[in-house]
Amino acid sequence: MTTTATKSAFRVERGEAGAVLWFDVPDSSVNVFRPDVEDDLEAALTELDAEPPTALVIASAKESFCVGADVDMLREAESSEQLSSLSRSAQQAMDRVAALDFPMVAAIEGDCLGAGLELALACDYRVAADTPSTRLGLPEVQLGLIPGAGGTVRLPRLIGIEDALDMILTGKRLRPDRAKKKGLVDDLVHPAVLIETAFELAGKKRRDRSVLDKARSLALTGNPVGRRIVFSKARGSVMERTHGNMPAPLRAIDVIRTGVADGFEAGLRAESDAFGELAFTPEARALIHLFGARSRTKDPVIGTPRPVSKVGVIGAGLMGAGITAVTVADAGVPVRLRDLEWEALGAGMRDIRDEVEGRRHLRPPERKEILARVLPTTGATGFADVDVVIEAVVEKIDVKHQVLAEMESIIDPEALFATNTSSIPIVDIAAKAEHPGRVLGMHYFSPVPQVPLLEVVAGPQTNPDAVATAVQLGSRQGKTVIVVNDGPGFYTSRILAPYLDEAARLLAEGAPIEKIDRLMTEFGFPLGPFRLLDEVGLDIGVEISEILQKGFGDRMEPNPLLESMVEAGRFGKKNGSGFYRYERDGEDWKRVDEVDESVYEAVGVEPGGTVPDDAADRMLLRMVNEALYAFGDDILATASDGDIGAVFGLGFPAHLGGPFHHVEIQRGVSRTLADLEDFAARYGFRFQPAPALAEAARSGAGFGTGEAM
Amino acid sequence: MNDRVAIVDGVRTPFAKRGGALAPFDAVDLGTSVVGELVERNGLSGTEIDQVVFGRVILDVERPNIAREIVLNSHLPDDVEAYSVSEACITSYRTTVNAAASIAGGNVDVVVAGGVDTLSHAPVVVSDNLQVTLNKVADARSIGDRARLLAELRPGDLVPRSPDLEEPTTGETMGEAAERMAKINGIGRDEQDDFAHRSHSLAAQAWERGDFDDEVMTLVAPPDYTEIIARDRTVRYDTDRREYRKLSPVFDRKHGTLTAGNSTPLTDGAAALLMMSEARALDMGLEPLGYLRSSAFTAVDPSDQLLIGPVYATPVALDRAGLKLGDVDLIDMHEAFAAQMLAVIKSFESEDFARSKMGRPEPIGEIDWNILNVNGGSIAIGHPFAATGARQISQTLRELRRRDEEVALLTACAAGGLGAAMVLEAA
Repeated sequence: MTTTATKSAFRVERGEAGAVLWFDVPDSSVNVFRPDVEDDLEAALTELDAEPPTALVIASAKESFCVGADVDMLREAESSEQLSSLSRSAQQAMDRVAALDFPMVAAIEGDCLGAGLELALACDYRVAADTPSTRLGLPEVQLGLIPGAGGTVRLPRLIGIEDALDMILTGKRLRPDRAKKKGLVDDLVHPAVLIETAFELAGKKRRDRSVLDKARSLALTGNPVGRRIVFSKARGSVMERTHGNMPAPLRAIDVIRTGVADGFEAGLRAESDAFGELAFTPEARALIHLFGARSRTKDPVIGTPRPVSKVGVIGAGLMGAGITAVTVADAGVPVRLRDLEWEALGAGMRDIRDEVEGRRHLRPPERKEILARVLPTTGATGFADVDVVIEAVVEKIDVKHQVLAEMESIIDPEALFATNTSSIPIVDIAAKAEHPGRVLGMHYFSPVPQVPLLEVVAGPQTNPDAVATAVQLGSRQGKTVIVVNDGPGFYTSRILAPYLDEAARLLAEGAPIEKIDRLMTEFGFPLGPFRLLDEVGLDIGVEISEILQKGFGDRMEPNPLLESMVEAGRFGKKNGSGFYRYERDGEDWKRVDEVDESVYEAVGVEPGGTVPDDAADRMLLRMVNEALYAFGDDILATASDGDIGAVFGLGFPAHLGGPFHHVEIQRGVSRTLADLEDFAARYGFRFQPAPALAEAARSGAGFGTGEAM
Repeated sequence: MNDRVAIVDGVRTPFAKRGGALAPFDAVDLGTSVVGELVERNGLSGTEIDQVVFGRVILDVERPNIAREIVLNSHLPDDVEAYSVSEACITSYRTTVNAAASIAGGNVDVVVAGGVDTLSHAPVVVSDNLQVTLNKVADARSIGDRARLLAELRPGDLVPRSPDLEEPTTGETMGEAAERMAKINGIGRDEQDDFAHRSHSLAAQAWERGDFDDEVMTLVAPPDYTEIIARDRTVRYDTDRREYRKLSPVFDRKHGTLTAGNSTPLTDGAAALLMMSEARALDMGLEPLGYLRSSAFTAVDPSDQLLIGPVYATPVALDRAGLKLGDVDLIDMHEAFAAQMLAVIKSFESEDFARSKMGRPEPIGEIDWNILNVNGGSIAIGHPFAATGARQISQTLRELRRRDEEVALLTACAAGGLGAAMVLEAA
């Protein structure tokens, strides 16, 4: 056995069956791909070529195989040309792997993403460990990019155009069983015999690549009509999903088509050109910013988290059931779930069951075990040993106080009391607490299992360990967590309300509901403002407005339209009467895809007006401006947290990078200031620019949301 | 006296007839629910529990150790050891006594003991010929061999059937045995119907008073989660003595007196007890319901009076406790059939039976009807075989507490001519 010098990212270990090439980037917890790693790979291959082994297995010495290209490398690049040439050299490294004289097999355990998967694709065979942490994917599109090391060319040749498009255009990560089914890996084994199996695969009759490649490319190019349909379908689904706001997936389609129609080399050229160009689009910059900001939310904030082995949830409504579902299914922690009525508990248990049953990758006994962690009760037993109580009862402070008082008489003095309020100040809830230090907000978004954000709200009285405990629980529940300071509407509700208010004003001016909604979904929001109001509940919207007006005065004075809706008994989907029409669906209401025309009369608006050209900007700037106010009020620890909160909690368009990134990098601070001043002059005081914006314009200091590019 | 074995708490599911409200739950579901709720009600996390001892009469060949399946499916930690017991209708007498012995012996500290049966999920039985053939087919080497084996089956071999719950040695069903006991002891139809009516009335009253609220958990049935089962579905809450008369005999249609009205129904349900030493309970700040003072298990020839077991087990348990029947404040006797109950009571009081059958000079004693099954019994509440003992224990200890009394006798008959009895004392 011989070993090469240390400090290289690759180490050759020769043995009887052949050689193992250990992938182990020094001074890093994960394997990433970047130019010096590529050089190490070339050096290792040269060493191997000098004395060729019978077979070569590449495996990782770390927990995961490789997480892809180093994102810092993207941030540091100075030009498109530079990135295109980095991509070309990565492609050449992969070509060299593919052209080795001896068989090479990738032994994959843990994440195998981006350039990591492209390296595996260049091998003759791939074998994956059958473990829950193993995932294979080309997620570049999620950063506004496309694969840049031959992935767009090799993947369609391995698994077919349709499946390759699906993987590359969505960036989805496949579990090992799916990867095996798609032909992405050749075998699936227990991690203990991963390397052994890889050598066995290498020993199999070597495929005659030239013949196979010919056959494949024939199949690929053989039917241009079928191919055209596949590409146009892919384009259609990208447009439906992104409304054309994301250039990367559209460009990926072109690149894949070139690789298929014009051959391997042409494909590689198209790939590296596109890679460099895409990296400098505003969309990629926004997405790369969000990627960095999101990974920074995992850093500890303050305090020391305490272990959580049981959670109490009060209220089995939509929110309580959702919180319970992610607690039992994602965090794996049992929940004592309480409601006053068994009927409500039953409905909650149905929601939880539906969520858990939807997780098809779990075996039925696993799902059953998850459901057995839900311990429903109408009583008060079973709370003495909870580490965290999360209340999700109605948004009425006296009810919250009642729950707080009862729980404090039962739970351990160390246990947290978290409130899932979307607007009641934490300090007001804590005012009646015996131990105010344990009271904080855990603000989830509906539907809880789907919306990635958790907004942890620290009141002035909350102790740091409680905050740390809530953050850790949230991340075990699969949430991206931001910590914000207390204040009316915290962060997310505070910036959402003026956006919705502006939508209501546009309606009051006569703009049609469905047109405003379509405008904003095309702009990149997942739901239009009126659909969102229907989903959240108009009564909740009005309550939040009242709290905000109380807190911030005239700037937040709402248009009376929403209140008149509520007065007319229109609460939204919850009672089957809102901006849209609903029909009965068992216990629930189902939205019929058309606006309830009687709304216009109910709110006294003459229908049939037009949507003004600046409508989207008016709504957007209300939200952005309020985010800046919140930033100035020290609600946020960083502006990046504000971007994360808006994008992952409210569906703020990701290609804008969040309100702060949008202002700082895309629109520009001074232009934003000018736009707001213009709107303030035309539409009123509510557009008065936030002091933080004027300050930024004056000082020239940014918000730190525009990572170098 | 800190070395007594404490029964800290008992919880059961509501009971329901086979194919009724509990049919969506299999035995593991019911066991998981009841154990989970028991742990919750006592403020435990589950890590305190050393062992789960659970029983079941209708066995499932694919999950023979149900106790362990309950642990693995529930939120209890996976390192809780668990074993299963099956001793017919006295199964949870056995789980309780085993747990108590292990605790007293210092082998375990905290045990969950109980039982579950769901007749809705009783596996259907196939003919012995089919079983043997299919097992041979599984091992056969060639398709030809398999075909030859299968060709030997006759159509009659292929018909599955429900297990008929008959005594394997005598071929007699429980009902037939009780029918025979009615005849031997001269128990008439009216007496039986009176007894059944009493059982339903008392159980219904207990529910009305809220006496069962503490010990019975609520279940919400999947898949719709709209069916809420908070009370026993077996009890006739508006029981009417006249209705009993209308029913026809079921086990001996011509000369019989046993009807669906005066027999226990086939039932789904589960019950569990939390047990530990008195000292441990004190330590954990838990207030026990009561203590196990003595117990006895006996057996007689099943071809004699199959369900006479309580007559044999009771005096032994009383002797071991140093008590006479007249010393106990409550008697809770498992009601398999009204006929069996009345036959057992007759034998309790019979000097002749004591002398000739048991070699005891004195009868056990007169039954005081004011303290017998005061909240009804299995005829009304139902009888998920392996859960009945645990149900009796938690129900009776709570009644002792309500009455501020001290000692109770529990007893039950079981298939195979078995009998069990225990003496409990209130905390």
